[in-house]
Amino acid sequence: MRGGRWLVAENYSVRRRGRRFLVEVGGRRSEVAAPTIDLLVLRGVGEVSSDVLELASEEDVLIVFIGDGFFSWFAPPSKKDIGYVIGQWGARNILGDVFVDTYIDSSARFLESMGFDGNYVRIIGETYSDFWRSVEPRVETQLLVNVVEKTGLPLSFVEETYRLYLEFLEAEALNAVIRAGLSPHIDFLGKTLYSELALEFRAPLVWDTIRGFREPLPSRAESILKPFKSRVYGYVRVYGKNIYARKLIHSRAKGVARCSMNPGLRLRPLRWFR
Amino acid sequence: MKVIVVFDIPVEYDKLRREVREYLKDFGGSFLQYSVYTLDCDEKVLERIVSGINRILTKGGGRVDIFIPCKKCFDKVRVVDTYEV
Repeated sequence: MRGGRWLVAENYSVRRRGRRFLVEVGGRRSEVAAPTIDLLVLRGVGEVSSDVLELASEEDVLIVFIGDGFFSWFAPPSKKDIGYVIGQWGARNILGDVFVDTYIDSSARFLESMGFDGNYVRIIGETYSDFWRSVEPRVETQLLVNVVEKTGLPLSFVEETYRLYLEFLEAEALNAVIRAGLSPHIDFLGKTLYSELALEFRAPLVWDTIRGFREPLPSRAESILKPFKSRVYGYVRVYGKNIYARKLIHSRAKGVARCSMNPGLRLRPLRWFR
Repeated sequence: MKVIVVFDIPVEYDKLRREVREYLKDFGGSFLQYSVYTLDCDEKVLERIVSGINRILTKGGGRVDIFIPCKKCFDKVRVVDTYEV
């Protein structure tokens, strides 16, 4: 499996040299061999030359651009059959429940692992009608409050770190969705497919990493991001087995694709924190 | 898998030597010594690298050896380095 590269910078520039991306940030240069990655996430303000897009297209690399208020991407041509997208449209009313189930269960268990009562989150999950307006904000607020209470970390630090981590998690989920042949725009719950796929990984990857911070807190975005990248590119435990988190994200996207193509298949929810 | 590429290209083909180095760096190759690079890649990429090196060398001459040690053997590599402080 090819890897991904993440970049957070106030001002960056990405050029092409041969089959490499030449990344320059504040006078420092590094080269990233395009055949070794499938995802390049650029967060901040910068410039990318057009031959970088050409190289990304040739080497099948997804480039995601994240900034204040925007999340966009340059996707290489899809190698998958259009049938996946058609199947995805047909499965719209079925698969959303799986994401919600995993999200609610993992959030509740995460709270319980910190010594709080997770049933409040479960009750919110049972009464959902408009998930993104009525459930997600309440669950996330509960997680935020409890993490701050348990860890003693400043609220502003937790909020900013959470937003940063979520952006990169959704970039990884977007990569998985596109590689599975699915459309990121055809959702199951009313937002985008990659945001919905990322729901399954919020508690075990985002919140679980945040609660690991101790004083003195890092101030640079790269230092804040490092433990999260290690988590996403490291092992997690699911159903009693160790698996690469990134590989699991891709497996879930492929599972969605298979279930979209075959309505007889069922995607089972993930069970974390066991 | 870990791959070690060792190349021996005659002096008169300096340009080809540079081309091979740049080509290996295109695939994530790391400099180990002059004319020795290491890479981490899969079978598919390795085939691509081999055919690319073949294409470069046919323009002149030289020899490239590609070693594919297993992880155990790679971890056993011993290094004597007088440059390291």
